[in-house]
Amino acid sequence: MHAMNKQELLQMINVQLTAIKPKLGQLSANTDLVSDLGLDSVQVLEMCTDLEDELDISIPVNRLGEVRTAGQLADLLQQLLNDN
Amino acid sequence: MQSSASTINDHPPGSLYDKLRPIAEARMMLKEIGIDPFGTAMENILSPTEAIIHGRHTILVGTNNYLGLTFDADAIAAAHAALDALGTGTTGSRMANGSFTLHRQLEIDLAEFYGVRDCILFSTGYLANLGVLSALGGAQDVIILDADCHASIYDGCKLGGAEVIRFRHNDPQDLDKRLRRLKARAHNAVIVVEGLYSMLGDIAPLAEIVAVKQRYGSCLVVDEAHSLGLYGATGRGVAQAQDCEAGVDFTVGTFSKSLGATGGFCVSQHAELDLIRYASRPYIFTASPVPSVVASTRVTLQKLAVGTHLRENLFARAAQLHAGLQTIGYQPSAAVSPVIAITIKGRLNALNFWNKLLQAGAYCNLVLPPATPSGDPLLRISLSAAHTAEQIDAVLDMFARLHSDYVNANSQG
Repeated sequence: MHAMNKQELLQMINVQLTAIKPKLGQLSANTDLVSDLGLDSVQVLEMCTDLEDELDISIPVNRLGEVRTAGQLADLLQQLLNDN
Repeated sequence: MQSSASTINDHPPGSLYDKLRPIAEARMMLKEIGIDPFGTAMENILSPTEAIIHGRHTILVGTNNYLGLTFDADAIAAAHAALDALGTGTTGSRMANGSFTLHRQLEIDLAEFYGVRDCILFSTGYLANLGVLSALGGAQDVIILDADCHASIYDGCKLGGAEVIRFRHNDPQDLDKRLRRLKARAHNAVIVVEGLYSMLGDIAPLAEIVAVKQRYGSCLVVDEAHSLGLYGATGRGVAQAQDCEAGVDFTVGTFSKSLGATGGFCVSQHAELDLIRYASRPYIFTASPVPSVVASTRVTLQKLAVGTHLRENLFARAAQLHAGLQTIGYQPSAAVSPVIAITIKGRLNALNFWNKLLQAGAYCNLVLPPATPSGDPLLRISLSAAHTAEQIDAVLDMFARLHSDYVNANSQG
């Protein structure tokens, strides 16, 4: 599970987001989770819980403050995987 | 400089007040439809279960007054006596000039009630969580909390600067998984859960959580704010009911629900609790509880401890309401507890339903997302030992008359 590149992580985020927003289509690294997709804080946390299971990591809630876009979330996931 | 009558729309984009714009818009919407569930004034309180609201006699089913002790004659007499003897306020913090013998007496009462070494009083339950969690969880530590924990728990974590990880609500296996991922850090991790969760009325599987905690040698904090007085042979809470109190390191609670006042506390068997007193900014830098509140709480605590009859009536009324709602055709939250929630889909539908119920003569709480666990609006009902079977029947009659509104709202999706 440790050797995932950013594109693979973005694809994984895309799949999770499609469960919340079925009409989402393909997102880009610049897609803003709140202002573009209209997710609220609880929806972001729920999506993260599913990603945590898939990647076998825990995402600290305090680190999510720095995440606005799908790309930034992928970067954070990659960092956590590397630290693991 | 803007005049005091300016609105947020008078400020250019990018102003200091931009962050408040979504709130301003939500407030404007409520003003336009003429319903405001977030500040309903009770014009007169007739009893623990009745008030005058908008000039009408109203049954209260949303006060968290679980044991109905707010008008207990002995507690009121004790409050009066303290007021006469010690004055209206302490005018200072415990650390500076606001520590009275009475505060320490209540701390000793609570420690004895729980059968543990010591207790610290806080000025509110919110501050108790802030004070304990910020002192326990420093910047180098990890706090693992149940995903449905109260805002005061999240805020306490933030104040201390700990790394915060959530586990799935009431899921000891998920907690176990997250502790495993922490490896050596799990030993110093602080696990935080509640006894009774205040939105859906479900209780924690505490005995299982204690077992997980013990495997990793972590520290467990349990917030029994809503469960104090409700569960356990002497009302100590869910840990007592599940016979796992020895595995709980710190218990946090409040005086503002079953004890009918305001204030908070933390009790523990650990000698280190007394050090938390000196490390806790929400203890050091705020005024101490006023004497009348401390005095009434000492009395209601005694009544709570022997209040088996109160607990029996409370749970009988909860079962009556839960079953009655199901008979009418509602789908209340699964747990039969003194907190019962009903999902109403759509904010406007929920607002209208809440308002119609109030007009019919019952006051409950409206909770809107993202403050709800499910993502849908909730009507939150809390029961009291002071409710009579007749009052619950009357509330059920009101719900029966509004059933078509419920069906319409939830069929719209």
